[in-house]
Amino acid sequence: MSTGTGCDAPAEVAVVSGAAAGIGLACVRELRRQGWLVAGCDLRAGGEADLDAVVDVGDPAAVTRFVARVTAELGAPTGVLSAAGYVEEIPLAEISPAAFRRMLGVHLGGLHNLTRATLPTMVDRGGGAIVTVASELAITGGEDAAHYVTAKGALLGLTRALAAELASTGVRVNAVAPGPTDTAMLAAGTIWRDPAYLATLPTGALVRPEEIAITAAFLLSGRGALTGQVVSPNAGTVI
Amino acid sequence: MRSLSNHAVLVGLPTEVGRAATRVLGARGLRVTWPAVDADGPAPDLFVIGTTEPGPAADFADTDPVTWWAAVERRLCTLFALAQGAGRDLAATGGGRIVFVLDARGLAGEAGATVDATVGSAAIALTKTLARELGPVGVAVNAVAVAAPPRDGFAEPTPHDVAQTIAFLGDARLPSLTGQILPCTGGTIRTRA
Repeated sequence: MSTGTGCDAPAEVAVVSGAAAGIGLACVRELRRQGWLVAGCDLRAGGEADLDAVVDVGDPAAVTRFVARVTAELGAPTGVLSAAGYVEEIPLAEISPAAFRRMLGVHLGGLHNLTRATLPTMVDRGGGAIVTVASELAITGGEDAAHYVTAKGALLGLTRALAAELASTGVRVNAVAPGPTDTAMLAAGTIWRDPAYLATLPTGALVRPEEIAITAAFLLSGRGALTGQVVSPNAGTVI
Repeated sequence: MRSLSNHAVLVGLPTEVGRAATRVLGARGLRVTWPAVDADGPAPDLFVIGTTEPGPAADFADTDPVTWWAAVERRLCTLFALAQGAGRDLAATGGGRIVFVLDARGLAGEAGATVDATVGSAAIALTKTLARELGPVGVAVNAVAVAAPPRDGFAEPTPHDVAQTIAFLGDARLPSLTGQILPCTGGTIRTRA
């Protein structure tokens, strides 16, 4: 089972999607701080992982090639963090079929593709951890983002199903469902940064990406033996 | 948030969970008071409160109402007193965290366990309400749900697993994590959301 603590054992390898910015980048930093070797992928170039690559996680062949490269250069991954995603604010009537398919393809397809590419090795080794980044909106729903909410909700279903199916293999599957988080995804001038909105939150402030990273790293570590769970650091938006 | 005292007080936990939590939190550099008879030292910034004393178990139709009521009332009144005391202490000193250890049957129910399920559900509601009430004064309130019935194919969590989950929920670096119920069940009971 992953420990991510370093010590004398070889460092374990984690794959992080959406690694070049925001929550994904914060996760890369936290995992490396905890001793993991981290391979990051993103549609954008850049990143701070031990290996960074430009990959469309919605493309199964590209994900398979990426995982093969990670395995060859760093070792077989025992941690998977599916953080790639994006949000669009569009009323339901204006969401095109192509926009819906793309949203589902990146969020749900990304998790599916990463899982298919990494799971056989983790099962063979008798342990590993998969963590997906969902959203508080997957729990509550929300306005003007039905395709985003649907895709994030689907992540929770797949997370729980995988957890149940893999319980006897030692591979654990959990989700983090962030509340409004202080990243570039929350644009300046939107309600999310309005002091009047922030005052309605029980904690009075946006979630820091580092909190999501600490939570994801905990779930990847295997500590607590958790599986099938959704942990939601959300500033009290969903209680 | 005030500066950390790194003092944790554990109360009402099963012996093995209390021992494991003392080890895990101590390894993280916290001073741990358990059993919490007289908590001297700096004002605590973490309270871990157990509510999982078992039973009595019986089919509901066969349960004596006086016995049932007495068990529920005693356990909930104890929880109320501990929670109120912890909340007052933390609010007075500028913030901190409360972690309840409650019965996962409060999430999913179980035949023959109406007392445990009722107390568990009440503890969940208290967790969520205290999170809302105490958030503005810097107190985060969460719970780990334990004691789910074992099931073939699922590993039963150890006291050490529960302790590690307690330590996560008690992590002072997570102010945004509040009002959450985290099942430590080996996956038999998964988050209701």
